[in-house]
Amino acid sequence: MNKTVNINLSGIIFHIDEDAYGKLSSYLATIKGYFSESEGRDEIMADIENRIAEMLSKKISDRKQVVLMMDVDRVIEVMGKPEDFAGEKTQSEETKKEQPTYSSSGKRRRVFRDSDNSILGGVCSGIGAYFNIDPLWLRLALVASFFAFGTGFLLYIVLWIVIPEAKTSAEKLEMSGDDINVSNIGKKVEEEMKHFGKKVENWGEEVKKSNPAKKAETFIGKFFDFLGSVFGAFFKVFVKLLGVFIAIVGMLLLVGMISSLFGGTGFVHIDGESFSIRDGYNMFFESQEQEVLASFAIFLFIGIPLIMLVYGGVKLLIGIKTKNKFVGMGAGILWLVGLLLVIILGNQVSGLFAEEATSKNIFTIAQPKCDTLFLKVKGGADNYERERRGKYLKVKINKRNVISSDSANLNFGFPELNIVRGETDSFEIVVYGEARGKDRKEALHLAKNILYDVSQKDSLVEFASFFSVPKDEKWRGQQVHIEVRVPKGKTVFITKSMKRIMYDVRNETDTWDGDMVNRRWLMGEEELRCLDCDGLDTEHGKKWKKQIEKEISDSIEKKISNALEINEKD
Amino acid sequence: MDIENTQAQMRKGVLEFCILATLTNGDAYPTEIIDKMKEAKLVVVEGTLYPLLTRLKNMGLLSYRWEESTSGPPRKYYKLTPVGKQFLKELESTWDDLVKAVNKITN
Repeated sequence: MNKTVNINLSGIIFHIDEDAYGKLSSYLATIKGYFSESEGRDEIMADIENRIAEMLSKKISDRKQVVLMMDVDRVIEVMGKPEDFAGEKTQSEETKKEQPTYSSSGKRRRVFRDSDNSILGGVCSGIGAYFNIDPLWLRLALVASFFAFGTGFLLYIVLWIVIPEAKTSAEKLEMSGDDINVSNIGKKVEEEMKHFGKKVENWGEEVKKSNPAKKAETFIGKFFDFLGSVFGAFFKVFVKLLGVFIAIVGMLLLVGMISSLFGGTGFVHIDGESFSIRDGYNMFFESQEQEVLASFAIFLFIGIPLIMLVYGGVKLLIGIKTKNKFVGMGAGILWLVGLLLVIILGNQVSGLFAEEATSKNIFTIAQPKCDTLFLKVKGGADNYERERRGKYLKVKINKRNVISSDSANLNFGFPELNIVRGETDSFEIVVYGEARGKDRKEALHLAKNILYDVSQKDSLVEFASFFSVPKDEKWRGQQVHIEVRVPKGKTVFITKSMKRIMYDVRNETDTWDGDMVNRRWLMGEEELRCLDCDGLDTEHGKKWKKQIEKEISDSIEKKISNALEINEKD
Repeated sequence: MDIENTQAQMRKGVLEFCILATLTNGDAYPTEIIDKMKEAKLVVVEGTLYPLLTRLKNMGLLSYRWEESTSGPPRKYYKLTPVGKQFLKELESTWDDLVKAVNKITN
């Protein structure tokens, strides 16, 4: 059985076997390559096609409806090999003095898998033929890249799917057709320009007889045709570069993802330092199964689009137009599986965060003699160090490890501090630890295990700038809230370092946290009142001052007008 | 240069002359021209003829018209133009001179 193709030769339709078609079209393309535009290539080709149509139409009948390979072979035998045309060419060249310009449109070079010289799928030999490289080097490079987390293997599979196999002889010819390089494109542009020049000449004579309006019209048309062909050539180069770019970016991301999923570090960047996805697993998931599931989910959910990106880039680069339905469908299905896994995982993880619990820890404070409590963050705000030893990263705050990637614990966070009115006559400091868990018991356990340090020296209270969690514990949204309870009529002095942990501290003037530092604050009926804010010259303070002044003057005006009204009534 | 090439070059040299000559007895389309050439064993492959016809036409020696055919695609009938006839006459006299000259030398 053989597939047939319908072709139109000089206005006559022929059914032709696919392989015979391949041979005929490559034959015609080769002949075309022997003539330049100026010799009347189009006309010669039309004549030759006409003659071939005549010969073929004699070969078919009601009983034999299909043109076979045999018939094409016969036609080629009668018409002669392209080399014979070349012989004719040299003869005509003598009279014409024109250099032969072999058309680059004669044989387009395309990538196919070369199954004749294949070891596995013929990918390397096909690409080798395309770029004119010995496939041995490509094979070596591929084998080498197998060890880079198997990316070479993945790439090979992708290419195997993407690149069609060279089946017909025409496709096999196209495998090593005209080189696609800069000089070739230059040649193409040059040819187009020559073509354009000739057309202008012809048309110049033509329009001498016609009216000027039509003249302009044709000229513009021709001009844009020319521009179009030049831009077309550049566009092709651009598309190829874009393809290279996309493929490379996709490959890099893929390598990054795979390596961070199954090995070293990279991919996820926190605060300028990179962590592998696996680092986060221990502190997040409960079981080995979940970790495996997460790996699969991430691989499919992120990896499939990346693979498709590489696929798209390679397709652009080598100009493959054939659409492989299975690739798109397969990728779509795998991605949906990934999405499903992500949803399942999300559901499980949300189960791990189902319940919330808060632990309360009251620090007893020795009451200061002068009714003023000084608040400070231990060691100041800037005592923050990073250390890198080999692949281990340590982030230290106040000389204490907060992040250490060797134990893969990212357990650190900044507490949030508020200052409220206390119910009793003494200063109190309450530390609330918050955590989530799959049940209340776990949540409460985690909340209680949060480590946070507060200490007192006379009237100075020092807060740690961070809280931490024991190394072996999971991350379940741990958070620390500090409440400084100040009795009515007593004052606190907020030192500058407090800026770091203060979180929306309420006060009568709605002064921002950043502006509250280095000042004394008196606890009023409900909120803090500033005692030494006269020098407060921030925008916010000025605005507030203006507002107060306006309110006061408004109320005075109102009182006056009310008084006047009363007077009038009298 | 081998003998085959020389022979081919000699044949090709007179090819244009012969094409024009075949058209003196009336108009013809390429297949008829080729058949006559093949009969005389002048043309080995057909493909060589088409570029020549196109060139002669572009030089103004030939003109053509389309005629419908019952058994295939339309045919391109070539005809000698007055310039072509003049050209042919000159070639014929050149050919006669050439034959005489060659005979004189070879005998």
